[in-house]
Amino acid sequence: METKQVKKKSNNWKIFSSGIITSNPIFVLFLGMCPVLATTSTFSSAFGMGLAVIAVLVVTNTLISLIRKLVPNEIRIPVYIVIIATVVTIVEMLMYAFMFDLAQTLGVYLSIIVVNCVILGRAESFASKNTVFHSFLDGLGTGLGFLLGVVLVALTREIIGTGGLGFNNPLTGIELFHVQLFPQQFAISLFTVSPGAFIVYGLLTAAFVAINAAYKDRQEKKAKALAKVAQAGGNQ
Amino acid sequence: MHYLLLAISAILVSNIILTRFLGICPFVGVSKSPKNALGMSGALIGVVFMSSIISYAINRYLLEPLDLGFLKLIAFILVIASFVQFVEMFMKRYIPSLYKSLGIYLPLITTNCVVLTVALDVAGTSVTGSLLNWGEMLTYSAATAVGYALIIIGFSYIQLRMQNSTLLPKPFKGNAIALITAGLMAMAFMAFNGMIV
Amino acid sequence: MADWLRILIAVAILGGLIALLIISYILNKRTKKPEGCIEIDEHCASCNIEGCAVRSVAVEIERAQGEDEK
Repeated sequence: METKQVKKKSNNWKIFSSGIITSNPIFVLFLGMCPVLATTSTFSSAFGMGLAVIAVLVVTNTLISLIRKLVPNEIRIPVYIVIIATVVTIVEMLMYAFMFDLAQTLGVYLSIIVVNCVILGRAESFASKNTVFHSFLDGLGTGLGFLLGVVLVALTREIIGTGGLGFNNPLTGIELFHVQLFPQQFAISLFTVSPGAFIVYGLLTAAFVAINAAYKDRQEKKAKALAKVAQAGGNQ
Repeated sequence: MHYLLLAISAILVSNIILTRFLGICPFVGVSKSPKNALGMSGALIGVVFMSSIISYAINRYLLEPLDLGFLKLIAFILVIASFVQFVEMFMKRYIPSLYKSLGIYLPLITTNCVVLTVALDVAGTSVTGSLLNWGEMLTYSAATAVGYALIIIGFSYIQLRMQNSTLLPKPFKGNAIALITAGLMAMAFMAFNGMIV
Repeated sequence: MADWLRILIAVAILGGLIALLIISYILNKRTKKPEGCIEIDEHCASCNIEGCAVRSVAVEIERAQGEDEK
């Protein structure tokens, strides 16, 4: 009985954490790259975008998983498109109502969440085949992975581009804090405009790939060493 | 003259890929050979042009007079998705050769940010309504699609040479170097920034 | 214009568009592909091919088109 509970917990954790590192939508799957480049010029807007995507992902994953047995298999994709469009419209209206400054900064990129491949991809590959709770976890994990990715890119761009770091309260738009880490005249302002977005994203992707490859190398070496020890032990 | 300025602004100054960051997914994924890029951009120009006409008509004559502007997003995505299905059916039956080369890209265009953005741009916000008249709308959507085609085809030629390079460090292979190259292209296009005030 | 009439028209427009999408989607699925076309796994059909789990299909397409060019 206990092993079953332990297994369930680790399975839930695996579903949740795979969206953050191993299947990170930004650095591994490269789905939905448009908001990564467009909304990461400041930390506040990137954070707001991440929150919006988490909200949409969680709600759509749960809804689609709820109705997965009722939808005929042939018309899956149009139904998913309708659900996602409705959810994004509602989230957009709520954001314009309660987080007006943030919604105005994000502008059309808030509506573009509809065609963001993360959402349709997760819906089709996971939510249509798994239970409601697992889909909820997967949505939360993938959304968090997206949030971490955009925040990482935005932090890099803002710190190197303007020399300081600031954060606005999403609900009121008032600045919560602003820290100037080094004088602005030494900052490379290229990173706050369009080429900087591409370059930062490219460099971070290369770094991610390199770290991943090194980690895999170490795991392989460890496994080989263990196998050798086991063999030597067996021979004796 | 006004239309020419609108076209130049859409193609060069606020280019939809390099300045507005839309349509990036096919940009780094599909443009590995010039033939694929040509096919993708051809399909895209057609879909953008036609679906922006339909979306604009629906918004201006149906949704706005009845104050149903909040339905824009759902209506547009439904229009775009069904239009792509109809185009695919038409090509399967009557132009099979074209379907063989372009067929794989049509489902990708449904979830392409460019198509939806052009539709939303010409429809305006729920407060301001449609800002453009018919002539401006046609120029804008055609010019945006041409700007996209320009960048994606040019980029595919660069990618051709990059694929065969041996000096590239391993972590950079694939998407990383594609994005950095796009950044260099964006830097070049920044020269057009002050062109139209 | 009366409120309930607006809601009714909105529902009618949305219902019409949804029906249009579903009908066109089903018709498209039932239309046969011309011969010589590479079959893509349906899983990859709706989103970016590069981000799809079934990468072998995408690689095969690239190879086939590369050979076409030669």
